[in-house]
Amino acid sequence: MTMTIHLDSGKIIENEQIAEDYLVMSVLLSTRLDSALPGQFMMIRKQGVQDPLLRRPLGLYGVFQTEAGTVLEFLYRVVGKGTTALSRLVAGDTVDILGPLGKHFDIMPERSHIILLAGGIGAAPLSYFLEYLVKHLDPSRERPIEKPETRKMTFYYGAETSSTLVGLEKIKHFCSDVRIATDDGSAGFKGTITDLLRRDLPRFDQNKTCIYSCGPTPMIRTLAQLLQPTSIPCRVSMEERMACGIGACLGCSIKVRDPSSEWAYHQVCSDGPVFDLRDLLWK
Amino acid sequence: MNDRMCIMKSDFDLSVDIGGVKIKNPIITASGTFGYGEEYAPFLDLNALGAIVVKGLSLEPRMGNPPPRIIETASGMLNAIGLQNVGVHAFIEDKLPFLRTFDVPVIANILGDNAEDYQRIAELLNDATGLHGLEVNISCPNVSKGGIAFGSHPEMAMDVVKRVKSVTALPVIVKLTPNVTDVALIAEAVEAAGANAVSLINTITGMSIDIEKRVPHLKNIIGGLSGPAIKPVALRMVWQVANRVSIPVIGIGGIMDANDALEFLIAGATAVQIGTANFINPQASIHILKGIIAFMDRQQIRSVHDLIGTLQC
Repeated sequence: MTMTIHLDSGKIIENEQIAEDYLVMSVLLSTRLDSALPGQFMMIRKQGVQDPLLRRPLGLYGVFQTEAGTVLEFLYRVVGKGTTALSRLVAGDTVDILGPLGKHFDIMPERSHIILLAGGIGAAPLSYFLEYLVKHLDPSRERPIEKPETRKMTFYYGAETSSTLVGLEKIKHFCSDVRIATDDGSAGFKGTITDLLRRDLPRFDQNKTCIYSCGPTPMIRTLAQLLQPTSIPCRVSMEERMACGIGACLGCSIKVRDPSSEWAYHQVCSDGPVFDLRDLLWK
Repeated sequence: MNDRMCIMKSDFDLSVDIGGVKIKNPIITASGTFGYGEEYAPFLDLNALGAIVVKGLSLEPRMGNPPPRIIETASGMLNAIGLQNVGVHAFIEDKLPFLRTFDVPVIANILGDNAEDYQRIAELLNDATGLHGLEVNISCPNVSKGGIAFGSHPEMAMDVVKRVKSVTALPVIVKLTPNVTDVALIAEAVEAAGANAVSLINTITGMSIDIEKRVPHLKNIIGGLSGPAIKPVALRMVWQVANRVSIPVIGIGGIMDANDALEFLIAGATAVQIGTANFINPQASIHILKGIIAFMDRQQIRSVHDLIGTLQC
């Protein structure tokens, strides 16, 4: 499916802090965006400033069509200069916005148990994907999923502490089987989310299960080790600092298996951000 | 597309000659910031540009540096991509055919580990149709000479230029590094060696540190600084070089808008290259071109030549 990349400006409708360092931003685009799929991201920056200079990549958290135009929702964490500047935007401010960019999550039709595994802010794109799945839409073809009633979904959500389990209500709204882990034990299982998955993994049918994950790179790495002896397919959404978002600057490289030369650096922005976990190399 | 029509139909003479590369306007996209053109084709009419300088080409493909490769700094960014590129052969076979479908001069940026590499790449590019010039990146370390950058040593720079000139009929632009004491001295040396034009500046080397972890932000430790932060330095160097050589000078360094580009032209640049701005707005080059036309219209200037090198001191 060919998709148009919009180079646009948008108006902030809301930029609400929902926990310390976590915000939800809604942006009304000046033009209608027909397709923006879970796993894809937008490059966004405050208009008219040279510091911060670069756009920041934010994964899609929700997309709504309204009478005024397309509204994009982002759940993001303040981590540096760029996201700090974004967090200070208020309703009515204008942002430059470029996207949708990158590869989206794809459905594995033969798999009846879908596990979504989020670490921290990685919950944002997965929660949009969950919503998509519940609405029985296949992002690969944007048509109804075949036999949605036979599917089971489990959402694993790990965070440092209970107060940073942001967007949990939305996840619970769309999924009846949510399993939580916190580092300090303030909610759910005490430990990491991969520890919790490790505990549950023997109970899953490897031939029917598939996993989609997004979170800190060390978590993805642990996940890779955990799934290595299994036959469970897994898609992961990766993160790396980006300048352009369109595959030109080659800044967001990641080491990936490559048929031509064993491995190569691929770009998270244009070859990803969604990768097959087994294609990623960790040395 | 209307971008092109608007620019082509204008009553202004924007055309310039870069040492034999005749371009319809002075806006060129800089190497390493515009891929091989195809990445930007969805966003703008490539035909509207003065020229495209493609991502630097080495003899063999290069994997590039391990990540992290970039970090934003105050009004700029550091990069240590490590010259990742497809190599000259794949460029000719896979990338050039796409660019040939456009009516825009294509300049190949070339790089090497030793002077022979540059010569070999230039030879190989002789067989490629659709190229209008070479830009020689002499910021690379000379592996045969202990890693000193070609561009920081007049004799080494001259050797590379002479070798390239001896095998190519294409105009040769030499891209200068700012990481030297006297950039004009290098410019004079490459002019004497037969360069048809110089372009400057390449990135300024710099560093950034993560104070929490006490590690460099870049895996390569050192990177090249670009963006608005380097513009005053670039402008100073362009002005100095333009006063010391008689070949055309292409100004590069933190150009974000038409005003920035005009400063370079007035300082003595015959054309400018747009780099980091492409990352922030893929249409930046076209906006800058339109801004220059609007300025000329406002000031009743018919030819861009009435701007170039007109600084009053």
